[in-house]
Amino acid sequence: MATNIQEAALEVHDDHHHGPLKHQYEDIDQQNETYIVGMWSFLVTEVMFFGALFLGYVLMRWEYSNDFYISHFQTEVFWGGLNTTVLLSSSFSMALAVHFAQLKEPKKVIAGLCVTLLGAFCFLGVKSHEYLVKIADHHVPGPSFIPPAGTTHNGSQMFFSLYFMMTGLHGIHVIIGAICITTLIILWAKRKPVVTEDYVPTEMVGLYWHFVDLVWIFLFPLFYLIPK
Amino acid sequence: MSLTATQVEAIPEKKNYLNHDHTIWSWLSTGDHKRIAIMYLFTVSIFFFMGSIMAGLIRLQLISPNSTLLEAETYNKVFSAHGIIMVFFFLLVVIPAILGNFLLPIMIGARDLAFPRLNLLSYYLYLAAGVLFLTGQCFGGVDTGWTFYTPYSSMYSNSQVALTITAVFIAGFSSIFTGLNFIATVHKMRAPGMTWFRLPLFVWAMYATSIVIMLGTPVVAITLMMVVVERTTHIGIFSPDLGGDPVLFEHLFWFYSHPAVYIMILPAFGVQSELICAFSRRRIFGYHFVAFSTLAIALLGFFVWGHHMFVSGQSMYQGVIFSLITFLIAVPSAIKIFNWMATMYKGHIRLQTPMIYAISFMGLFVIGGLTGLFLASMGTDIHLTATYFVVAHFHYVMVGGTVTAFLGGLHYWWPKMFGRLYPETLAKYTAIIVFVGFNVTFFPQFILGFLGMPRRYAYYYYYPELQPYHIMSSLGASVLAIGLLLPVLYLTWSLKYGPKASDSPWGAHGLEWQTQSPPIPQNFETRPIVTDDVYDYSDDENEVYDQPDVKQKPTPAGAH
Amino acid sequence: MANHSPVGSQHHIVPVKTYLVTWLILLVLMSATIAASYVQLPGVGNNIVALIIATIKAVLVVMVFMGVKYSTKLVKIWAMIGFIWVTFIFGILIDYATRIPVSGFNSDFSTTVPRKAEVAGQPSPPQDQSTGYVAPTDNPKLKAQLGQ
Ligand SMILES: [Cu+2]
Repeated sequence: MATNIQEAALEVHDDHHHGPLKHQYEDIDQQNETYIVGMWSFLVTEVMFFGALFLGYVLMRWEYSNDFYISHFQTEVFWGGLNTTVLLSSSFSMALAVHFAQLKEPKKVIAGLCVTLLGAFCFLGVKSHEYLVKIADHHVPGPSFIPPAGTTHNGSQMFFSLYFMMTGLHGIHVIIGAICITTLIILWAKRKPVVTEDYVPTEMVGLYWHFVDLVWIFLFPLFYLIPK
Repeated sequence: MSLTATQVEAIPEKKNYLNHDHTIWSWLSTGDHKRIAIMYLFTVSIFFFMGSIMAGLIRLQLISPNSTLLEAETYNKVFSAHGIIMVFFFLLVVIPAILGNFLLPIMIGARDLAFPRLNLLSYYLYLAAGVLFLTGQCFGGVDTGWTFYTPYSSMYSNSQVALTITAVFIAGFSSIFTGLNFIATVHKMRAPGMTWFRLPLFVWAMYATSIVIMLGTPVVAITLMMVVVERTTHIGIFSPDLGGDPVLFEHLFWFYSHPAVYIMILPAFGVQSELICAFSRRRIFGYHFVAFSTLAIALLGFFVWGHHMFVSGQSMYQGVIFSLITFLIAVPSAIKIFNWMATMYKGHIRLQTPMIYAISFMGLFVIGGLTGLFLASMGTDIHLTATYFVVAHFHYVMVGGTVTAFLGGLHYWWPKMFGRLYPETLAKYTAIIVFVGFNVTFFPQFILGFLGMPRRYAYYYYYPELQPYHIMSSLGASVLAIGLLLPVLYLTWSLKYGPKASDSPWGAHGLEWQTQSPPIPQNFETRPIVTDDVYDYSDDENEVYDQPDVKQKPTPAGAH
Repeated sequence: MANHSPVGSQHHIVPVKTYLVTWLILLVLMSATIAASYVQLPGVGNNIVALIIATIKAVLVVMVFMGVKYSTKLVKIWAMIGFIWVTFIFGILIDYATRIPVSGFNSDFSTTVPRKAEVAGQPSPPQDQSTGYVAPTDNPKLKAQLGQ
């Protein structure tokens, strides 16, 4: 049998690595590329995750188009627009944080991340305000649900069901993102080599955050901007 | 170094992944793909045992037409538990998580999977899902069947649907993380010289499976989550009660669950290719065809889900298209079968235990696949929907396919995993017992289904003529049970008393046979460089073949 | 690993200016989509405009912020495959579009629940006029059966 294993002219690693390189990789480039591929594969699963909900939305809107049209006046375009602005801006600051992580400038990275985190909290604040308004208006599906005037019970309830499910799932993603960003800020503040010597962990959180932004880009017109 | 068996016993055991650290904690916190595979092997076996007990109860119940053993409600819970355990806790994980985890990095010449800690997390998620599911069972179980069809699951069922679905959801994420890990590993961790077309077909199969997991599993995860939300908070889009559409659930569920059968069978194809090549001593016939048919099945598998819904009120036109694509997907599966047969043709076939499993796989899978065509054509499907014909069909594919391939693979790689040989003659007879028991169990079910026995029925006292077939099926099940129990016994026995295996007891080709048995923690002493083609058996007509007596060949690695 | 040079690493550092411009374009597009929603276009025109703008925004975020434009081919494929596959899920809609009759899926349910009442010779329970659908919980007979 032909020989498959030959003495490789490669350096053997120390088992006790201190830097960001993990033992299963040959070099940092391989590790970084692998992490990015892994993260993108995860984002593909996330896209599929939301995809099913978007399908549900399209189907229900097709079935109850009039109810959806009337019900959507209950969402306020001001708050939706504000949240869009907040998320787009936080995506921008996240991109800057990754940029400075590549340049290894910790202070600027932390600043960028803090702005992003602030955006996340802003978004969640606005969102909870909107939820509270809907709860007060009895627009939460269930026994206490009161459909807006001119809609059928089922149709408008479906609108709000989808509204709460989709924005709720998105909100959960925002919360997870905020937790990741907080962790990242702590790591940067402590100047841990796992982030300072390698920009990819920051980049991965960045990708996740941009994805959260991406979902919102579609949610916004679908729930707030059915033609006025 | 050529040592006799006694000399091998005399020297202290070499350092390997099993003995380099003995503490429990070193197992529970391990990132080593090999140890995680062993942990999966243990856990999955327990679930398989539980699922088999449920199957046994079902077969006992159906011996009599009068529902003598279980009440109808209990029966519902028993077949649901059987289905859920076998699908979500056994079939979806068994080959990827055990053989895939163990072999994928070794086969491509990597030290570990790309994300060892994610791998461990996916094991614990699987474990948590299992515990949650069993908790649900303790609180009364679930009676919806493994498909959780709405509106029954979302409105009417009074069993532990929410808990069970959450468990399945978590198991789904375990599967997703395993898939991500495999994708990143195959893309980025291959050894120098290990090009895409030098990959063993098992790796191709794991890669295709991972893509299906990545694209399909999230859909069912969110769908099932919506059922839970609907059940608990009445915010939902499936219940007609809320103005929703239960058929949408079926669409979304089968959008995943048809590809899921490819998550179960593609790894089996991969194992099958390895076994056929190794025991026919030939390079696989049409390597590229087999590799690409794997991908074709994975991708085409996403466009056939509607064949589960021919009688669910879906559009007739869509039904026709789904029927057509379902026929089409038989083509790549047939390509594989023909390629395996062509590989065996004029090969030097050795009827070792794994090869017996491989050959029985081909027979059983062909029956399973061809009966699928009856179900794929809309006309016959109306007669056969929800009968035992369907049950027999998917058991032929899932048990006859996946379980047989898993057993074959387990026997093939067992010496690599634990460095011990099992009693070959006993194993051969066991393989035959499994084959016979399986056929006696499930072939009568085709007839039962054709005669109109519906699936999921606790009794059939309006039609006692069916009883002989049921009795035959139950008899077969007990033979099958013996066939499945025996490997547990002799494989466990071999762990301590089995003769030591050499590094390559089958004289097979591939990187995994060039490391030590069992492998060292980092798999290879030095990074392998691949210089020859996959399944290159051309130059080993007279290869030393040292099963079952132990003859150490000089290993080319110069490793020890 | 030791003498790994930064030249070997694949990553591309995108200038701040690119990010800034992208951000501004995104904000402009957002204003545009809000403005467009106040203009009544014929048919599904508004939806098309809103979705086109949303898609442009999404592409900008994916390409620039997520750096797909500067990435390897593999990442490009991965970035696309998710969105392509989502469109396959939307294939489910073909079913609803081609059913006979096409009056909507709710019409199917209306034939299931009241049938019992018809057989018993009773008048059908009141139906929701807009959908023709009777919720099981509104059906007194079923209610009694369920013990509510
Ligand atoms: Cu199917």
